[in-house]
Formats: sequence, C-alpha cells, structure tokens
Amino acid sequence: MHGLSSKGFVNRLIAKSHHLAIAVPSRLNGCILGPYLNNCLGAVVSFILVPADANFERQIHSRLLDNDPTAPGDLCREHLKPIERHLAARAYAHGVRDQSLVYDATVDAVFDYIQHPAKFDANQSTLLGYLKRAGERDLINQVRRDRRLRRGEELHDDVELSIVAGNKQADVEKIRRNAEAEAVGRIDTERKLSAAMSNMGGTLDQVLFRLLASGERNTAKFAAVLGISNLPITEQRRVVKQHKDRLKKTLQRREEKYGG
Amino acid sequence: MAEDQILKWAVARAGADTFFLAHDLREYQSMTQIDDAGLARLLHCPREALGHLGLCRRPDPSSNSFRGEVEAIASHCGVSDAQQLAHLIREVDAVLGMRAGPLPEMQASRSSSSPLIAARDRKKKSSRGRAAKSRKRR
Repeated sequence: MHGLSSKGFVNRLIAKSHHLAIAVPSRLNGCILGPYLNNCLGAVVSFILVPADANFERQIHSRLLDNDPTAPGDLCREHLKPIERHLAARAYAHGVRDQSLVYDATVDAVFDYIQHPAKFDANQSTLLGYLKRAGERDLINQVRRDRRLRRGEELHDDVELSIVAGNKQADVEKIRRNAEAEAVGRIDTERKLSAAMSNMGGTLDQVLFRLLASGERNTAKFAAVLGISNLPITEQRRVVKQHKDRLKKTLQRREEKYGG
Repeated sequence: MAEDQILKWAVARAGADTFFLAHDLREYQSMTQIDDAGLARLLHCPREALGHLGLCRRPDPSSNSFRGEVEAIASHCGVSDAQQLAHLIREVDAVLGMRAGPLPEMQASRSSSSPLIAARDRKKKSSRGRAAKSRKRR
C-alpha cells in the first residue's frame, strides 16, 4: 500500500485523524515498528471510516443541544481560527482590509450557532462549512453597515439616482468626483485606523476604538464592552468619556510621532 | 497579530453577553475592582484559564443542575476552587437581580391594589365654618 510505504503520508493521516482503538496482532508489538504500525493502522482505519472533524462536530453539536456548559468554549477553540482564516481570505479578495470586521463576523457566526444550535442541520452540510457560510453573511452585513456609516454608498446612490432622473452630465460628474474623493478618504481613514489599532495594547481597547471609529455615540454600547452597565448612567458616561479621551489622546500622540 | 487574537476577541465580546460566563467574571471584576491576576488567584486557576472559563455557558443559579454544571466547568477549565466559582456566580446574580428592578415593598406600594393607605388626622372644623352652616339651616 502506498500510504504505509511513505512515512510522511501516514504521519499526515495521523495528524488529520483521531486515534481509534483497534486490535493489532500482538506479535507486532514485539517488533521495533510495532507501536508505530499500531498508530498508523489506527489512523488509516479511523481516517477511512470516520473523518476526525466529523466526530468532533457530531459530538459538539449534540453537547450544545444538551446544554453542556463547556461545549461553547471547546467549539470556539476548535473552529474560531479556521473560520477567521477563511473570512480573512474572502475579505482580502474583496478589498476589505479591516481585520476587526473579520473578527466580528467570525464571532457573530459562532456565537449565534452556540445560542441556537438547533438551526444547524447536520444532514445538509458540515458544521464548519455551515459556520463559514454564516460568517460570510455576517461579514457582508458588517461591511455594508460600515460603508453606510462612512456614507460612501449614499454618494454612489446619488450618482445612480441622478442618472435615472436624467440630470445633466456635468452634475453627474460632479457627484461622481465627490464619491471618488469620499472613497479615497475612506481608504485613507481605513489605513490610519488599522495602523492605530495595531498600536493599541489590549483587545478591549481595540474593541472600544473600533466603536469610536465607527461613529458610535451610544454610551450603553461602550458601557457593555467595559462591563460597567451596572453603574448609574451618570457614572457610565463619566467612565466612557475617560476611555474615549484616553483613546483619542493615544491616537493623537501616534499621529504626532509618525505624522499620521 | 498573535495566534490567539481571535480567541481574545471572542472573550471580550462574550463579556458583554449574559449567555457567557465572561459576563459574570467581568461584572465581578467591576464590582470588586480586581484585575485578571487577582481573579485567577481567587479561583485558584492559571490566568490563561480565565479565557476558557469566559467562553463557557453561564450556569443558572436557580436551576437544579447549577452545582453539577459549575463543577463540570471548573474541572474542564482547570479551576481548583469550584465552590468559589459558584459563590462568584451567585453573588453577581444577586447583585444584578437587585439592580434590575425595584424592591418588592416598593412595588407593592406602587400598585393600585395595595391595601396600605396612610392614616391622617381628621381636621377640626373652624368655629367660623360651623356658625355659617348653622345660619344657613335657619
């Protein structure tokens, strides 16, 4: 058999599969290659019979349906990274460079499944495939929301409406130039934002900064991220303002240092 | 970016979601003003375990399975002091419960069906008023 003659191939199989306890003739344990062959055979048989991921997915899905409190953490540790990689590649291919949008879409998809596991039908697709597709949908929504906030789309809509309304070509060109300037400005802001976020220390600061940059003005959202929703509203406003001022100061210092 | 950046992001997001234990851990930290290291010491677990702990589902203190679920979480995430974890969840639950709404007595006094009515002294009628009434009768 090809696979057994190539150690690398077999090792790949072992890495890709869970070990199954299978009976290996006891005489093999006596020879030097006994334990190695035991592993190889176990891996090959388990790989052929049940792919490792399918085992994990079936177990985690049933644990979530049974309300196992430790299942969400296990799912996150196993699937967040591959989903994030998949979405990052998709985002990059479509010109989206903002990593925080990818992170949010990944987490939204996984958290939604964790809280509503019954939505997933194991007969339709694999769990990882389902989560990747859900993540893609969430990413599209995040990007749309982001663009709406930056008003880029509104300007494009203006162009389209003007054409439909039969406005003069000069007016349409003027609006188009504005839209292009807006897009250039947006890319520039995006670049500054990414650079600033790479300088931010903790994840909490990055989440706060993302909210701040997206133009969010609702104190409750900042308070939820900071974990101070329990405080009186005046106190929440004070703490949120402190954090906003600190972040703005950090950004300002960075701009002074590196020239924007 | 670090390899586990997405996990850290998930834990930060879970902190704002009452479904996850991260929400209670963050609430407890803001109530007691302790940092991650202090919380890890309190629960007798390594600091890295806090992330794992935060992504677990928050057990409901009013449920019958609360104790079993806390023990399962503690042993799964490497927390030595399951009792302290249970205490933390109950404490946060109690504080949030009190903050969520008015006290029962206050609710009772606000409701229209309340049997409690404040007693007042009857005002003495002035002598002028009495004289006017007697004149009218005549």
